[in-house]
Order: sequence, then structure tokens, then C-alpha cells
Amino acid sequence: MTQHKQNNNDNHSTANQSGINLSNVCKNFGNIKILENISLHINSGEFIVFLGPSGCGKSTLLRMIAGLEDIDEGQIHIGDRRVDQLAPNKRGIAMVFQNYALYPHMTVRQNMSFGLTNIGTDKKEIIRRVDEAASTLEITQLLDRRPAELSGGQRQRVAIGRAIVREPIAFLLDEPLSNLDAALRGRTRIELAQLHQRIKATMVYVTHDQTEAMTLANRIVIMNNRKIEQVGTPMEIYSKPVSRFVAGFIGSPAMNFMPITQFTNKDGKANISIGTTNINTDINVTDLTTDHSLTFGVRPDALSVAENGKGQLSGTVEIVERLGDRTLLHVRLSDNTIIVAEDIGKSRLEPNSAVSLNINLSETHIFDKQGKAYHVS
Amino acid sequence: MNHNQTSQSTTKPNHTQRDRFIDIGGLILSLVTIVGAIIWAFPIYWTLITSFKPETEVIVEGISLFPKNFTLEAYTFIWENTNIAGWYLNSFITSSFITFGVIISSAGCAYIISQLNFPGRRLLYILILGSFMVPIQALIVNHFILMAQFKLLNTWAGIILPQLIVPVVVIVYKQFFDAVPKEFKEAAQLDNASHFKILFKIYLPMNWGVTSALAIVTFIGAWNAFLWPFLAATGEATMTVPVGITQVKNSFGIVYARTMASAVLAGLPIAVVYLLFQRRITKAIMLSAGVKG
Repeated sequence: MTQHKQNNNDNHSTANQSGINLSNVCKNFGNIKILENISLHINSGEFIVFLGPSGCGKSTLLRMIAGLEDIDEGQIHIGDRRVDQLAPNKRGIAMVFQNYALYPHMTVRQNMSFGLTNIGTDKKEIIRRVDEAASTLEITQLLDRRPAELSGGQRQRVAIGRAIVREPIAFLLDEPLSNLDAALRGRTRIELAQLHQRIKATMVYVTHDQTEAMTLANRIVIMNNRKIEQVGTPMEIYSKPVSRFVAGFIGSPAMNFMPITQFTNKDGKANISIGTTNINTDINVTDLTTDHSLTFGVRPDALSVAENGKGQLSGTVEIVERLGDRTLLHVRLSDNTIIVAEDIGKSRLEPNSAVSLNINLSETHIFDKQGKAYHVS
Repeated sequence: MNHNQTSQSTTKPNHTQRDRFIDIGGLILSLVTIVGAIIWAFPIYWTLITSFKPETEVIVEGISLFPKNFTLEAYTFIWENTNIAGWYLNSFITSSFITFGVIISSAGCAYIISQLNFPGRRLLYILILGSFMVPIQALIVNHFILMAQFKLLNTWAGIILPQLIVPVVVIVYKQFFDAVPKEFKEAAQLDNASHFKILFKIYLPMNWGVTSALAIVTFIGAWNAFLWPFLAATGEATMTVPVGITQVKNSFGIVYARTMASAVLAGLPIAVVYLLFQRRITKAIMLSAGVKG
């Protein structure tokens, strides 16, 4: 018993030193490649989010860290222990499932203490840990209820509580908010962020919701097509996406993409034409070797209505979406490209009115044929 | 508005005609059902009233639907002259062990086939499905020889062991275990639970409804079983109720009132169990037929 507690403490201290490390991890289902050469270091105490479209392999990667899926190649270290050959319960992690997986016939207290009972933890210690976790999550009054008597948000907290009592090295969370309604999701998101700040544990979180990723993560891992596309802080990923996929995936509304009709590399900076408009950008294109199939990218918040009618782009407003604090304008340009621009909440523009748009050139991007991004340095 | 009125006025008579047609159809169906129920229930009623008649009244010509002289003579005779208390005990003990054994072994087998990955898993399931198609009568000689070689004839174990093989319970459990989201097993694995614990602490309690339904039906089946206990228990000491009632006769041959009284006594516990657990039994029968409740 004492030894187990000591092991737990040892696990914590080890994790504080080195976190989770994935090196060249691969996964196949039969002949189908699910993940290819995934290498990633997750720092101790970090809140890292795996973000990507459905089927990109993010949940599989999480399950591989948990030990619920075997890996075909590579290594996984948690702390300084290699764990990829260990059973899930030997890895020192706890997981929160998308559907919570709370045992329906057990009370909340029994759910939270089940894991500790199985390893023979002292009863007093179990009660202490459960009470402490319940108090942290403000679910003390729910301890004698069964999952069916709880709301979605309460179930979600119990699932986190069940993970906390195990005092794991890392928490693995697989889309834990996706079963909640929008309002509750927002509230629970904040509570999760507060919980992470309080317990300072390593958290690996899988989601396809970019708002959750942007608000919760210390770093985001963008995944696509079996691979990691980019790892970075939320703002790095938003402002300096490494590829057209990342640029289009992050941000709502999505980044506008316009075909470049003419490109000149002038002293390492890009001078481009979009339709009949010439734009001299500060985008660093020193190593851009081709001038074919290039795309110009600009986010809606980097486009603003030119009051004097002399902006770089002009077109006709097709749809006006009034969101209260801002207005989204869907504008058709002369070459029939439709782009989205942001205006103030009380925008005077109406559908079919002509509009001229200014581009904030410091927030523009160019993407080559392979999708590689070039930014303003 | 006018259009609505027109459409209402044209559709209303059609509705009424159809409703009337359904009413007449329903009435005929109800009558057929009632007649069917009477035909089905009449032998039970006949057994019951015969058991309360004196034998002299039973053998009188003609049909008498009520006993003219109500008597408990047949019941008293059975109680005083047969080993019915012992038969009840034998039936209760063997049926309870069979129920417990069938539920535990079938749930374990179903969990293994449903949740564990091992070579030959599919073949094992096909074999179980195949054995479902072999009637117990086809195996009865083998069972008899086997039990005789083990010297288990005329013992409770001899009655119980061959009746522990109930493939349909395995199949029903497998269906239910397949339907449990895999996250429950994974959560339990992360909670350091062994497969044994996952089955008994998570899967069986989560499927308590089907377990109780299958247990009741298995118990009733074991209680009513005749052929195998009839062969395996030749001595009075190990006879179950269905086998024992065949012994209710005297040197003058069959006494109908006593035979009927013994049939009533044999069926009584099952009737009580059925009345208590009617819904669960219906559910179990539907499950065995492949209809999920």
C-alpha cells in the first residue's frame, strides 16, 4: 500500500522531469495506415490539444498513449519509462472518455473509488481522495447518486473526478465536452482550464472543436491525413500556419483563399496580382521557387471596409451576417471569387451594395502548389 | 378555408368507414383469441377440477364442469403416501444449481467470445451456434453412458451436469455484451480491473435485466425437465417432481384425481414463479427468439 503511494509519488516526480515522448510512432489497421511516424514531446504540466478533422487519427493517437491500442512501430515514454509494451493500468495515466463510461449501476462514490479499490488502496485513503476530488469539482452533494440521476455536465465532472483520484502522471481526455449543449460546453471549458491551472497536471486533450483547442491549449497539435501538420501555441497556429490545410482549418470564419494571377519575387518579397488588383506584400518568399498555382490567403479579420472606397479589393456584398459585436460580409469580387470580410457590428452595408476592402498586409499569406505557407516575417 | 372545408367533408366518411372496418376486424380477432385461450386453458381447468373431485365422480359418464363433492382427498393421499417433499427438494436443488451454473458459465463464455481477441474465437462461436441446433434428445444416450461411467447416475450431480449446456443463453449474452460500449471495458481496464472483475462487476450488473430474465427461464426449464432426470434418477431418493409424479399410482392402476393432483402440485411452483416474474419471463422468451426487448 505504502509502496503504491510511493510509486505514485515517484511517477509524479518523474513526469515533472520529462512528460510524454512519442518517437516515430506508427499504427496500421491491416493494410491501412492510420498514423505515420508521429514524433512529439509533451512537456510536464502542459495542456496539449490534438486537433483535426474526423478520421485524422487523433483519437487513435490518444488511445495509443493510453495503451488501449497497440503501436506497430516506434516508442512511447511516459516520464522516463518506456510504456508502449505496458498494459493501460501500468502506464500511470487516467482517461476521460467521450461518453464518460461511468458505470451505471454504481454510485458516484463507487465510480470514483473503483480503480483504487482494485489496487487495494486503504479505505481511509480512498475516502480522503474521493472527498478531496469531489470538493475540487464541487460534486460532493452528488456522491450517493447514480449516473442516471446526473445531468450531462455533472457526469462529465464525475468522469474527471474518477481520473483525478488516481493521481495520474497525465490525464487523457477524448472529446469530453462533445456530448454537452453549447452553453454548458462553454462553462465546462472554463472550468477545465481552471482545473488545469489548479492541479497543474499534464493533460492531453482530443477535440475537433477549434474553439476548445484555442481556449484550452498551451500548445495545439494539428493533425491531418495520418500525420502531424503543425505543433504550436494557439496564436502561432492562427497567425503563422505552416500549410494551407492548417490555415483553412483554424479560424472561424475560415481564411479567404484567392488565386494569384501574377507573381513577382522582388528582393525576397512577393508582388502579386489578384484579378486586376496589384498588391505589394511583405511576405517573405526568398525560397519560393515557382510562380505557378499560388494562392493568396487573408483572414476575414484582416480585411476591413475602406470608408473612402479606395481599398485594395472591391466587389459586391452578397450576404450580410449580423453577429452583434461584428458583421460578416460575403463579398463577390470581379473574378467571381467570394470572400468573407469583417465589419463593425453596426455595419451600414446591405446585400447588393458595392464595397471596397482594405487588406492588413502584415497578416497575409501565400501558399504554393503543395500547400506550403509563406508569411510576413 | 373553403378548400379545407371541402377536403374535410370528402375525407371524413372515408375515415369513418375505415374505422368501422377496423372495429369489426378487431372484434373478430378478439373473439378468435378468446376462443383460442379457452381451448388452451381448458385442459388446465379440467386438471384442476378433477383433482378436487372424488374418484367415483371422476369416472362417471358425461362432462361435469364443477366438482359436485369438493374434496382434498387426492392431495392428502399424495402428501401422506409419496415422497413429494423429497421430490420438491430435489427439484429445487437441481434447478437452482443448473440455473446458477448455466448463468455463470454462459456469461463467462459469452464474455470471452464477445470481448477477447484470440485465434479461433469465431470458430468457437460457430461451434456454439452449431450445438444450438443439436437437440438434447440426440445426445441423451451419450450423456447416459458418460454419467454411468462417472458413477453419477442417481445423484444430483448426474442430473445437473448434462443440463448445464444451454447454448442459447451464451448467444443471448453475447448479443448483449456486444452492445455494451467498449469504453466501459476500457475504463475498467484503466481502473486496474481484471477480466474476471470486468465480467462480474461491470458487464453482468449492467445486464442485470437480461440475467434475471434468463435465470428465471432457465430455472423453469430445469424444473420442468423430464426426459433426462427420468433417465438419470431411477431411485426415489433423487427423483425430481416431474419424474416423481409418474409414481403416483397404486395396485389398482391409475387414479385420475390423484394423478391430476400430482400434476397440479408439480406445476404450482412454476405457476407462482410465472405470476411473480411475468414481464421478465416474456422478455427472456423474446430474447431467446432473437427479439431484443
